[in-house]
Amino acid sequence: MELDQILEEVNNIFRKVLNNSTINLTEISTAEDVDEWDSLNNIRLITEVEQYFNVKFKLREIMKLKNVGELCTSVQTKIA
Amino acid sequence: MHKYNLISQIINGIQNHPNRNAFFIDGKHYTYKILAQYVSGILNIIKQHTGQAPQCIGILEGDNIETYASLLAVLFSGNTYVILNPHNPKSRNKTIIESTDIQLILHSDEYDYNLDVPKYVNQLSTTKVESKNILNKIDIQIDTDSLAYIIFTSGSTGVPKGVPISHRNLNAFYAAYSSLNFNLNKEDRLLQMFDLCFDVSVVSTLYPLTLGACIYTVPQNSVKYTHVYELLEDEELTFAAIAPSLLSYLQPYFKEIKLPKLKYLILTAEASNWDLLSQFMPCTPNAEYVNLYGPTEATIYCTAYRVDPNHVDTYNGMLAIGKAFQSMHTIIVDENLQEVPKGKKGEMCITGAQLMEGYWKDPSKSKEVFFELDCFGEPTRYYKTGDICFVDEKDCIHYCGRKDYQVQIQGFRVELNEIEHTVRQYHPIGSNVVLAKPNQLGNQELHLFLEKYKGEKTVLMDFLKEKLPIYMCPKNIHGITELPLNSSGKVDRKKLLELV
Repeated sequence: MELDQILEEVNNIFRKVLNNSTINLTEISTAEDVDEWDSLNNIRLITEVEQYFNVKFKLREIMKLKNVGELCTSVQTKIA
Repeated sequence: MHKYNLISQIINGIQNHPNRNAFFIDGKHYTYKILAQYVSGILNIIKQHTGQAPQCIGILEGDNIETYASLLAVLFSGNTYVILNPHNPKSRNKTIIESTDIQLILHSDEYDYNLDVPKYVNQLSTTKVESKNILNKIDIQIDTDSLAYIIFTSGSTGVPKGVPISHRNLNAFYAAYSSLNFNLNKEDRLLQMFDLCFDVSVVSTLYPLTLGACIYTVPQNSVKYTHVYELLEDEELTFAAIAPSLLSYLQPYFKEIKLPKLKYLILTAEASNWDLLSQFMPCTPNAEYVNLYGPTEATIYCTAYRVDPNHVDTYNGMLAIGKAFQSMHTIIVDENLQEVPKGKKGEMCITGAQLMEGYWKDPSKSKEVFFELDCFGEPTRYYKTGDICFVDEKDCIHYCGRKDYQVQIQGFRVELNEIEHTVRQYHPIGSNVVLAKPNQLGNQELHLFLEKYKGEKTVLMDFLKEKLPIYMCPKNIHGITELPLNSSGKVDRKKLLELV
């Protein structure tokens, strides 16, 4: 799957989980940029992303993700 | 120099360990010498802008060395620090600034943030203020009756309550905390994960400095659990005070976690679920767990329970809160303020050297929470904590829950009335009720039930975000035709909770 496509799917997941249709993530978006993106929602987001793409993240991997772009790249590597 | 004078011991720590690391902030180490240079630079600024009489000085919080140095400089100057959180609504910070008559605010340029303050307030940057002085000749004389800090907590009338803590309170706390005999020294690495508006940050910041040890900070308003875990593992921290909810976030990953260097895990700010802790224990094979309890009004912590995994005292699955600190005394009373027998539940009341004098400029609120009882033949002032507790046959105190409509959200004590009051400012028609319910991770989450509201929920949410700190904004808004009432005509909160 292309990165652009993954980013679009991740956007949809964020909009659904955070209940905010105006969210528009880019590759450089971080938790700082989205009000509702706190610790609890991070768990929800990761779980949704894992289920949607049928992948699994280790805690170490989650810790190293610096922005949405890295999340998408990690998903791409896992589903390849 | 008094052994239990906290400020003197911090100065000792700074002077005796110039080349050791004091802080690790955002990936960078700062030695005690560098810290001292920042502190003396900021002390100079404070001296230039203040008079002889102690006053409140605002500090705009950031995760940087300037913020921590400002906090120390205000304490060393004999003034009182008041933390202003840049993520709080402007109106809330304005209320705090006005009520404490702040005339000087120290900030670190970190945020593009305009405070809504009167023109006479000086807002000074603390960046680029390093001085060559390293506190060698510093002469500090602090009146122990003067105030060290004022922390604002949620108030039911929509106005935050100020809790003033004196140096006398802080020294009593320091003596009691030291007597817990944690085996710590200058080699230790300690976590500071709390917002500076929350009083556990005071001990997480000040105590390590007395040892010459290093403090590892966590940025606020971030996805905290990953940051905390990263520090615990990568920096091999030896001491961590955390809110138990942090562990619930990490629970899916317990199997991956190994922290053999951790010596102490302090559980605080919320009730601690023993089941969750026992699952976490294999991750920390060399750590002792200690549950610490205390209201802000009695200076950070005032009871301690050391966990012996083979004989754990719990109630409803929650860890006991243990016994009172050395200079504190606790009693459990009924509605008539009469002490109840052992094993019976009642409201816990506390007295002792750590107890504040009264809320900041709020005698009526103070009157509500204090009462006098004869203790050892002397009339003694007790503080009603609002916490329902009982004492077991081993004289161990157990926490059962809150008496009123206060809840703990992310460690912050929240008056649900304050949120309801704020909702009414926007939507005065009909009633509204805010309730807390544990989410799927067991952490409290706020629900707002609102009568006769036809507007957009997001518009109301935006209004609340303008007025309240983010942790006080309800996660869920439920429109309802009419709030259900119970047989005595009061809102049936149980029924409402069943709806979500």
